[in-house]
Amino acid sequence: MDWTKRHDVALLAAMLVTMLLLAYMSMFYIVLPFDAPGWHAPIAFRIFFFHIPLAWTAYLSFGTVFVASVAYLRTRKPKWDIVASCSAEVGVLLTTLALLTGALWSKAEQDYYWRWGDARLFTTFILWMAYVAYLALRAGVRGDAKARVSAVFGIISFVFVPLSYISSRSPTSLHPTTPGFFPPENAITLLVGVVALTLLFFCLLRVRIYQENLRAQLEIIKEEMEESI
Amino acid sequence: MLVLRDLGKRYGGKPALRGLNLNVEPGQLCVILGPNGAGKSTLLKLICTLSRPSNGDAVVGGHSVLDDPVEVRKLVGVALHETLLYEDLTAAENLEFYSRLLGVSSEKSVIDEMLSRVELLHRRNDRVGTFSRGMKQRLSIARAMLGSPKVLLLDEPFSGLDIKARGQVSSLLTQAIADGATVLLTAHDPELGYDLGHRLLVLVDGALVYDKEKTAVSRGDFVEEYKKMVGATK
Amino acid sequence: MMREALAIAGKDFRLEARTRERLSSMVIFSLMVVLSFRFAFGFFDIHVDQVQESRSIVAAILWVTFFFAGMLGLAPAFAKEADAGTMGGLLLVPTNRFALYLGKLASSLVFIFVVSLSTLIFFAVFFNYDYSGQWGPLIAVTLLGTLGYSSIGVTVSALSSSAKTRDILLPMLLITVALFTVIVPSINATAGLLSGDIDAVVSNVVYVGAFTVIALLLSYLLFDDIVED
Repeated sequence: MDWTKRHDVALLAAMLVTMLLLAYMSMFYIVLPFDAPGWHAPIAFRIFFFHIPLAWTAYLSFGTVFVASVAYLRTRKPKWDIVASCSAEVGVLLTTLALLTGALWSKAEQDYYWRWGDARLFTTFILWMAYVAYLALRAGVRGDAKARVSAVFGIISFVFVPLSYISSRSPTSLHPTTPGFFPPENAITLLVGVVALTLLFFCLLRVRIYQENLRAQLEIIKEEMEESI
Repeated sequence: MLVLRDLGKRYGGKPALRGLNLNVEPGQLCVILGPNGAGKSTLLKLICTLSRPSNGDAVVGGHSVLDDPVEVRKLVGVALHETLLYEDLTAAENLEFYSRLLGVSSEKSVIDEMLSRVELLHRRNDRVGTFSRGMKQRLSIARAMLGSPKVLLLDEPFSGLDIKARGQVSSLLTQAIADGATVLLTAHDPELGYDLGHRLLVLVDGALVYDKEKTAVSRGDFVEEYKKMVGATK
Repeated sequence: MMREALAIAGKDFRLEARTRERLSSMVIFSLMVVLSFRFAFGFFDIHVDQVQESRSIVAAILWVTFFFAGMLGLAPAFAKEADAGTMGGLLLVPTNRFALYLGKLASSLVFIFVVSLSTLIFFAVFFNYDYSGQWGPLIAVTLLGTLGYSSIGVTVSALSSSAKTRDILLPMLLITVALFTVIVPSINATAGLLSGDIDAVVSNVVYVGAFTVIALLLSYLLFDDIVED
C-alpha cells in the first residue's frame, strides 16, 4: 500500500467501509431463518455471508494467477510474475478461510466439519493444494527459471483443478444448494459481502505487490552498489 | 552468414552480454578470446538457441533465433563445455543417437568415418564413461560436426587436448572451412587463437572490445594488445 | 518430429537396458506397496476375502500403487538428463521441441505400463485375486489410465526437474494435477470393470480420454516455455 497514492488510499477506505457494513448487516440486518423448516442452527447462518464471498474470492485469485501467468509467458515482463505470485499467496489465505468458515457452519448446521464425498468441497480443497504446490514450486526453483516455470504451472493447474470437479461429481451432493430461504435483506447483504471481500482481495494483493516492488528496487540498488565498488 | 544485432543477455538482472553487434561472412573462422566470465559461452548458447536473448537478435543464415529457432538449429553444430555425451552408451551409440536426432544418416559407415576423423574408431564400442577428458572432447567435437553443419560453434575445443590432438582438431576445422562451413570458437590462448583464426574477437565483461582480421595485425602486436585488454579488467 | 521422438525413446530404452536403474526399482517398489497393503489388511483382522469382495478397494490399491510407482519412472525423465548435462543435446533437436516431450512420453509410458502389469500380477498372487477372465479389458483400462497419467506426468516432471526440492515437489504437483483428474476415474473404471458395471466403465473411460487429450494439448502449447533456458 503506497500511502502517497490516492487510488491506494481510496481502495483501502472502500474496503474498510464495506467490511464494516458487512459486519453490521450480518449482525443486525439480516433475517435469520428461525421459522424456516430444516434449519438446525439459524444463528450460525451469519457465517454464510462470509463463507460465500470468501469462496468467491478464492476462485477470483486463482483466476488472477492464471491470467497473470499467461500474460507473463506472452510478454516476459516481471510485473506479471509479481502479480501471479502475490495473488497465489493471498489466494492460499482466502481459500483457507473459506474452508474454515465452511467447516464451522457445516458443523453447526449439519453436525460435521467435513465430508469427502462432496464435489465442490473436494475441488476447493484441491484448489488449496494447487496454491500450496504453486508456492512450493516457486520456493524450490531458483533464478530466472522461477517465473517461467511457475507461470506454466499456474496455467496447468487452472485447467485441471476444475476438471477434478467434474470427475469427482457424484449423484448426491452434500453441499447445501440454495437455502430456499432468501428474503431481500439477505440477498443485499450477500451482495455487500461479495463486494467487501473482493475489495479485501484487491487490498491484500496491492499490499503484497507493493512489498515485492520495493524488494525488487532494493535488489537493484544493492547490485549497483556492488558494481561501483 | 551470422549477424548479431544489439544482442544482450541478462541473468537475473546481471548483464552477461551487452549490445553485441557483429557480422560474420560465410567461410570465416572467428576466434573469440577473453577472460573467464566474459560471456563467451553465453554468446555461443544464444546463437545456437540454447538460451534466449534478453534483448536484440542473432540471425543465422537468414533465420532469427527469436522467430525461427528451429531453422537455426538445422544449421548449427555445437560443442560446449558440457560434452552432451551419454556416459553409459558407447561412442558409436552416442553418435548414432545424435545422428537420428539431427536427422542425418546413422549408417555404420558414416559413424565410423566420423570416428576415424577424430581417431576414436578403435574405441567405438567402449562406453564413453571410460574415456579420458581429451577423448570425450574429441567425441564431442565429432558430435558437433555430424551432418556437416553450416555453422560450427565450439566452446574451448582445445582445452584438455595434447599437442597431437590439437593438430587433429585444427585440421578438422580447416577441412570444415574448406567444405563451406563458418566456424566460431572460443579460446583462452591468444597465440593459439591468432594462429588458427581468420578473424580475432575479444570479449571483456560482456562487451565486444576488439574485432580485427588477422591480416590487419601482427602476432606479437595482437598478443600484447590482448594482454593489456585482459589485464585492464579487475 | 516423430522420428526424433522415437530416437529419444529408443535412446532411453537402450540406456535402461544397459543400466537397469529405473525399471527394477519401480518393480520392486510396486511389490513393496502391494505387500504393505497385504500386511495391513492381514494385521487389522480384515480378511482377504473382504478385500476381494470390495471391488473399489481392489481398484484403489492397484491405482495408488500405479501412481506412486509411476512417479519413480517420471521423476528421472528429465532430471537424469539435467544431472548428466545432456539436456542441451536434446534441446538442439532441429524440430519443434515437442518432439522431446513425445519421446519422453513414449519411454515413460512403456516403463510405467510394464510396472503396472507387474503390479496386477503381484496383486493377484498376494491377494489370491482372480480377475475373473477380464485380463483383456483390465489391461486396456490400465493402459489408458497410464497414458493419461504419463501425458501430464512428463510435463510436470519437466517443470520440477530444475528445482532443488524436486523429490518432494513432484509428488505435490502430481497429486494436485493428476490424482483426482485421471487416477480417480481410472479407479472407478477399474472397479466398474471388476463388478460388471458397464456404465461406470464407459463414463470414466471417457473422462480419462478427455483428460489425456487436454493434457496433450496443454503440453503442446506450453512445452517450449518449460524447457528453454
